[in-house]
Amino acid sequence: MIKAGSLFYALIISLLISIISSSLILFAYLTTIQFDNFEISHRLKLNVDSGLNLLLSNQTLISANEEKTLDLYGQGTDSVFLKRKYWGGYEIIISKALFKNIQEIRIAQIGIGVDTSTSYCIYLSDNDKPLAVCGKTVIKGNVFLPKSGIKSTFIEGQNYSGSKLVDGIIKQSKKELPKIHPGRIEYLDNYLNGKFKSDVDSVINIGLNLSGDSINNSFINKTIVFETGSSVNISNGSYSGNIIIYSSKQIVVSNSAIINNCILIAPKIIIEKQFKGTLQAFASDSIILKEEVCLNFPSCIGIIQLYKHNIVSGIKLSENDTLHGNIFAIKKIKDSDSQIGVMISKKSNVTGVVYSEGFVDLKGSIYGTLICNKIMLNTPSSIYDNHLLNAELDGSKLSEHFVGIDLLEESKNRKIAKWLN
Amino acid sequence: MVKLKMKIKGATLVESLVAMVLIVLSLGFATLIYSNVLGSDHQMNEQKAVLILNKYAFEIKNEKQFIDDYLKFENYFIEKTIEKHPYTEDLYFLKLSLINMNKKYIYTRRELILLR
Repeated sequence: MIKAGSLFYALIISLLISIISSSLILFAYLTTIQFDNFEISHRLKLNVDSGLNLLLSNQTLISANEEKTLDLYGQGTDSVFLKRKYWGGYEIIISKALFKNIQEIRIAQIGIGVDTSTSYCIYLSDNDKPLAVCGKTVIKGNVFLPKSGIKSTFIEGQNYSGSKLVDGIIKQSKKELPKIHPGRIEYLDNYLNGKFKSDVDSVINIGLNLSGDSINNSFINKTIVFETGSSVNISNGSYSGNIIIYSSKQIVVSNSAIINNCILIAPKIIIEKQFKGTLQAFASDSIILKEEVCLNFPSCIGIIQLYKHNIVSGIKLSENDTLHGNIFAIKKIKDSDSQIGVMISKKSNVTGVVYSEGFVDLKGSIYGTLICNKIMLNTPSSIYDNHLLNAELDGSKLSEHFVGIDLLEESKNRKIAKWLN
Repeated sequence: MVKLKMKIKGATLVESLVAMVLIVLSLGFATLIYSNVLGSDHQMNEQKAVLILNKYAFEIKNEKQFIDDYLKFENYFIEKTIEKHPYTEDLYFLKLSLINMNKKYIYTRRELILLR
C-alpha cells in the first residue's frame, strides 16, 4: 500500500527550498559585508595616503608639533587625523583614518630630499683663501669655492696626483654659508637646554646605567624620556622608537647596546668602538665616535655651541667609522674666540651632508655634500687652512633617494626617509 | 474487468491545496531571493570599478599624465579631473570616476597627490 501523503512531501520540498534560499541570503549578506569592508578599507587607505601627501607638501594647514583632524574633500565623509612632530633633525608625520572598527595608520620619518639639478659637493664660504688640494684628493661634482678658486699644492711630501682638480662645474661662493632655519636652531637649542619635554611625555629618572631593558615605543604613543643629572652609560639593552635619552652631563653608548631611531641629548656624547645602530645625537660640547662605529641611515649627529666658555666644540669620527645621514656643527654665539668643527679621520666615511659653521678636518671621504666656512688640515708638522690631503668628496655617490635633515632655509623637497611603527 | 487488489489512500482536497500553496510560496520566495542575489552584481561592478581605477591611477602617476581627460575603457568611460589644492603649492586633487554606457557613475575615486 502506497501512502499518498502529499502534504508531507510538500513540507519536505519546502524545507529544502527554504534551506537553499537561506543559504543564498547568507551568501548575499556575507558578500555585501565583505565588499563593504573592502570598499571602506580601500577608501581609508587612500585617505591616509592623501593625508601623508598633504603633510609632505608645502602646506600651511598644520604647523610643526601640531595635530588636527581634517575633512579632505569637504564632503564630511573623508576625515583624517594628521600630526606633525619634530624628531631631532627630522620630523615625524602621522596620518590616521578611522571608520567604525576599521583603522588605517601611517607613520613616517621625513626630511629633505636631494635635488640633483642644484646639488653640489662642496660649499666653501669665501674667506679670501683658495682651496688647495694635494695627494690623492678627489673632488667629483659641482662646487662653490672662494673667488680665489682652487689650486694644487705640495704638502707632507705629497704632490697632487690627479689629472683634474674638480670633476664638475666651479661656481663662486658667498662670504656666508647657506642660511639655516631659525626655527630649527631654536628647537635643537631647546633640546640641549632640556626644554624638549612636553606635558604629554612620560619622563623616567634613571641612574648611572641604562641597561638590561628591551623597549620598543611606537610613535603613536607618548615619548618616553629617560632623564638623569649625572653621566649615563647605555649598554646591554635594546631601545627602539619614540625614546629620548637625556643627560645633563655625559652619555656613553657601549657597543652592546641596540639603539634604533632614538635621540640622545647631553653636553658630551661618546659612542664606543664597534657600535652599530640608527640614532640622532645632539650635544653642546663634543660628540666622539670611536673606531669602527657604524651609524645607519637615517642618523644625525649635531653640535650647537651654546656658551662662550666652550673654547673648541667638535664632532670627531675616528678611523673606519661610517655614518649615513647628517652631521652639523652650529655656533649659536657668533664670536671669533671659540671654535667649532668636524673631524673626519682616515678611512672613515660620511654618506650624506656635513654642515659646519666652523672648520672641517677631512682625511676620510664624504659621499654627498660638504658645507663649511673653513677646511683645516691638521698634520703632525703643521696646520693648514683650506687644504685637502688624500680626501675624497664625491657628490655622485650619494643616492638620489637620500633624505637629509631639514636644516637649510632653501630646502623644500620634503620626502619620506623611513617608515615607522 | 480486472479488479485492483491494491488499496490506494488518496490525499484529501484540503491536504492537496495546502501542499500546493506551500510549494508555490516556497518557490516564489526562492525565485525572489535568487533574483535579488543575481541583482547584487552591482557590488561586483563596483569592485571591478575600484580595481580598474586603481590601475589607471597608478598609470597616471607613473606616466605623469596630469591633465583632465574623458576616455573609453572596455565597456566603460573614465572621467579624470585634476584640481589644485587651495592651501598648498604642490598638492592636487585627483578624481577618477568610472561611468557605464548608460552614463551612470559606478564608482568615484578621490586622492590627494604631490606634483613636483
